[in-house]
Amino acid sequence: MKVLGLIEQRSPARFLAGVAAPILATVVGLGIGDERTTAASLVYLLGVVAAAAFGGLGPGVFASVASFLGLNYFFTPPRQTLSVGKTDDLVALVVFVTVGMAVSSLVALGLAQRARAERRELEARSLYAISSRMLASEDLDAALTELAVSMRRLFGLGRCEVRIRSDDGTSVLRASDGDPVAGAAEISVGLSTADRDLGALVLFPGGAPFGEAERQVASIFARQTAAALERGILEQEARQARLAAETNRVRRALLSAVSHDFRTPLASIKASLTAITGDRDDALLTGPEALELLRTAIEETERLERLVANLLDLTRIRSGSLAPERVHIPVEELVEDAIAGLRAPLAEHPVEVMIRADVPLVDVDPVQVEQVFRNVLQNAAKFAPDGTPIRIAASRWQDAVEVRVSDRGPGIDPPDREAVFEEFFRSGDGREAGTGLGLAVARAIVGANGGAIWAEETPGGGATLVVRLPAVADAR
Amino acid sequence: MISVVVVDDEPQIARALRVALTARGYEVRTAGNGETALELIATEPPDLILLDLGLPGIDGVEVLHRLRGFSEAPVIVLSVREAQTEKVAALDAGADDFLTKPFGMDELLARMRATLRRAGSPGAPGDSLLTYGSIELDLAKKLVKRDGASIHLTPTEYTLLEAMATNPGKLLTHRWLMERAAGGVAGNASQYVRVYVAQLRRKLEDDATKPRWILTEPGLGYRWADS
Repeated sequence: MKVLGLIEQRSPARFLAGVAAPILATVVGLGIGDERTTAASLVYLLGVVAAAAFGGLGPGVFASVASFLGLNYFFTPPRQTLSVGKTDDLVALVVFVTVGMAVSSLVALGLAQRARAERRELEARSLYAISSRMLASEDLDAALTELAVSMRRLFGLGRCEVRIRSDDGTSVLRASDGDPVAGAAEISVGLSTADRDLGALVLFPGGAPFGEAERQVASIFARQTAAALERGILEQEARQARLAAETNRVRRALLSAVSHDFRTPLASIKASLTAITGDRDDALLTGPEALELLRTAIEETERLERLVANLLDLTRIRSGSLAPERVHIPVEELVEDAIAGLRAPLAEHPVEVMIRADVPLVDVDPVQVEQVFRNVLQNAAKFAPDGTPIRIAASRWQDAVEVRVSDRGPGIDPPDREAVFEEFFRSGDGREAGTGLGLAVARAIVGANGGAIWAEETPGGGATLVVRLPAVADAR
Repeated sequence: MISVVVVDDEPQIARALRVALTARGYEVRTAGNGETALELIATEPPDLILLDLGLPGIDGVEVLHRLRGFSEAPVIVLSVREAQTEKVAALDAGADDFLTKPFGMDELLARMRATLRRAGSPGAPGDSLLTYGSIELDLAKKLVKRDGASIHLTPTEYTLLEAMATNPGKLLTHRWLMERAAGGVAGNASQYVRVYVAQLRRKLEDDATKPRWILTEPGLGYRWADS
């Protein structure tokens, strides 16, 4: 039987226990008196048990034999000799040595079992910790490195590597612990599940021996790791599939939008320009009619231009290539700049701005967020009847600032309140030449700046768009 | 002066059409939605209607259905290419022709003239002899000749040919043609009509793969060449 590291490492002390116990028992026994044979034999037995408990089987057996000799020499008549006078004494001595050996082996066995149980517990704990971490964490590489560290510590390895099979079939070192061991024999434990061969754990034994028992434990580790790895890979695949589906959805929306939203201004442009050039019978159209047609063509060209710009913005923000440059800025500055840039569209609407003094600074990209307010205000101006007021109010909400832009227009039907933020959403009454992208751009920007935007009903009628922006931690 | 009603919810295109058509001598009124359009048409019937299909509120096809209850004014449908099924529905509902956006004004003017011409001479009854190139059609005797030689047609083929040849230049949907040829619509109308049109082309056209007279409008139907 293999005696485990815990005790092995204390080898000198263990040997000492085997020697010291019989000597101590002899001294105590002689102190009691050499005619007290029974008492002495019990003291010796105590020593044997102690030697076995401290030292294990070897020292226990050694103590048994030494005690037998001591008992015979010092306490069994004729004393000071190794000869035995009476048959009874001989029987007693033989029984003693047998009992001593039996006790030694029982105690040693118990100890070894306890050590094994402890190690099993340790293995189970680290297995559980690693596999749950692998399941929980997004970072598979960190979990694999941890696996290598644990394996190396548990088995006293010189080095442990995790090699993962890549898509092209080659084996790639994904994680490792310990310095490379020159010329060491490596032990490879396959990482595979029922469905796939994922790679291997490669172990380089260090000081500690690595036998069949260790290999079995390692293969349990490997199975668990493989299962966790497979789950990780499947999850990654599912994520990619979701991403692809979303990309497809956007692409389809874009395609149908391009067909409608691009073609509509194009239709006006083409109709206007071909009306001027005339058909085969007519001459070139001139005069005020031609001017009006040209103006229409220019307006519609500008609409196309806005459409393309918005589409580009949306793509850039969504792809993350237009990262916000955040600064601490008062919200009224953003709102006022937005209003200043919209003189013409807001000409027919009185704008009331009410921002309380205790509203903290916001932590956003000012250029981007000003555009959010521009888009939201443009929308309000477009849908609310001329002459109706647009109200802008800001207030603190937990660690954010909420800006509410309320109009007195027709409002947004509850089922459309989320849909208005989708690209190319059209409301039932699309009489104005919008791009269908303003609110989608607004939502993308606000999201990139750590905020949120949604639509509500204005109390008393109309639409309210709420823009929530992250506040600077220390209030002004 | 020929009066036209333009129905389109895009103010820019409505304005472009109004200016361009007014400059060509048409009297133009515009409507931004179906209700207004029906009102305009009912109060003062126009000679021609240009109708966009993608309207807010009641859509273009519904406008056509209601319109046909009280007006026979020819309708040219204007729509973006994607609205294929809507286009067929509009033609079945009684539209006379369609034009895909974006279109050139010359194309629109040509279609308007053709539509008005057809509307102005509704199937002159005395005229029972039609001639298209080398094809001669005697409607009274139900006889068809090509290069002077008599051609044998089955009754269904003849009905189909007559339906097309008496509506030159007009877009005829699969459904409309099947109703004429089979007296009703059951199953796949486009498949049914396609089979007979293929036979007619083999018998009448110089090159059935490059038809001169029976033109295909993909996904919609057929058009008998105007000239």
